[in-house]
Amino acid sequence: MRYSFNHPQPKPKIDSDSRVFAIFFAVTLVLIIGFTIYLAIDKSSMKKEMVTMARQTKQLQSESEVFKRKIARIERLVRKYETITTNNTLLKESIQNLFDLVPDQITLTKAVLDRNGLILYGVTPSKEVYNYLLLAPLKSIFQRNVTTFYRMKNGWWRFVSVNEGTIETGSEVAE
Amino acid sequence: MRKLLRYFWPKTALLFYMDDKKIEAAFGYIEDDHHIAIEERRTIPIEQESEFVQWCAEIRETYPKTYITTVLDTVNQGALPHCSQDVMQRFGVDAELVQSLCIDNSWLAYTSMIEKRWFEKRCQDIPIDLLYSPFVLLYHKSRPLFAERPALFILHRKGMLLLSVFSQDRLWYSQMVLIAESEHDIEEPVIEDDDTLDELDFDLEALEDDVRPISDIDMLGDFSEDEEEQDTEALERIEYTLNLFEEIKSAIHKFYNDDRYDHEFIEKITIFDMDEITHDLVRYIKDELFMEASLHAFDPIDVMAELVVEEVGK
Repeated sequence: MRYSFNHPQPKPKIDSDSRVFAIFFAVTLVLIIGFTIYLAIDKSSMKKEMVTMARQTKQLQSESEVFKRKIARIERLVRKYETITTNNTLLKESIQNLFDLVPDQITLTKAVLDRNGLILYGVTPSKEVYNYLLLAPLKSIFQRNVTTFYRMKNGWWRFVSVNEGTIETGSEVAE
Repeated sequence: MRKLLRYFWPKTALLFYMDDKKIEAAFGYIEDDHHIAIEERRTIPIEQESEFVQWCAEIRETYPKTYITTVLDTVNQGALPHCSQDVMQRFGVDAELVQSLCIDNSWLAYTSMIEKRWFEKRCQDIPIDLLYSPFVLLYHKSRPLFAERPALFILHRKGMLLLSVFSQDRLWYSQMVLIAESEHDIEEPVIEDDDTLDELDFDLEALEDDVRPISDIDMLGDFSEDEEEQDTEALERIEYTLNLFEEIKSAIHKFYNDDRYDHEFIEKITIFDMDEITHDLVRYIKDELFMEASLHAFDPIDVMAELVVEEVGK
């Protein structure tokens, strides 16, 4: 029932200090909640990133292993190549030297150079020529020398000289 | 939530009324069981009104839900026996110049809008929420005493008398009267026309025989100023009480004779006093008017406290 000439003025629910405190509290709460949400989102995205990065790391590690293996193989090949090149150079020089050893009286018809040694086919006017002029240097190079002579019609000798020993020949690259 | 809000930010009320000398104010909490627990009561001299304004501001800052309540003490206000549209016209009240309020769908309290605005301007530093008519206060205070037969209820504050005739179901009559406190307050009779002058035209020659020289008058003996003051005060009080009695008698006469009011015989008068009326008034009424009379103290703060709770306590 109304008894007053005036209507009471509408009253605020809380006093000004409390209102400021409530606004501050609400703003703080909103900031905290917002920051928490941001952190949660960031955490989940970071988790995803971490999983992705772990996968990438694994992939890169495996790729790295592959590359390492490739590098090792290439290094091996390089070393082999260098060895072969050196050996071939040496062999070339040996062959050059070998052919330099062959005297003018003796004619080589065939020469087989392999891993085990050197097999020479040729013709010599006499065994002595062969023994003095060719066998002597061959003996200094190879450990074992076996020579077989076949007389020809014209009195010359066909010979087969099998020399086994230390001289190395170039070979294919073994992987 | 509501209880929590009520606990931390309680509804409170600042109740006050003013007179020429002081501001009587009280502050209290509006409790859940619909009563006001008065916490502090102050009487502030009217010269220190700023102190009251400051107190009021402090309370409003601390308790935002404070209802500032007072009683309108202007002269041009009253109460009419019905709430109908034509009641103002019937009693010669210009509806455009007053603000009215129907009380309990039974009677109408009104006040002059100009005076209300003047009052609000006077209290412009105090944002008043509830403004009560003194007739409403008298009605609320008298309500427990209402009976089937009408009785006269009087509210007295210094210099002012509110008279209302109430029965259980209605208001019969009401009037506000200003009481002259001393002879100086009584207005000089205004000589309005020649007829009146004729009445005053007395025979000077006849009077000469009655006039005695001053020397023949017995001189009064010496007496102290205090005794003189006391005597003067006592005389003024008697005069004031007699004035009150005359106004009450006049009001009852008006109630019995004014055809605009319904008439019923009054046997009982209840006087609520905000000042210090002597019991002589009760005695005068009993002896002269042969009516039952009683005198009670009236504290507007208590009555306003009950009204505030009824209006905003829920």
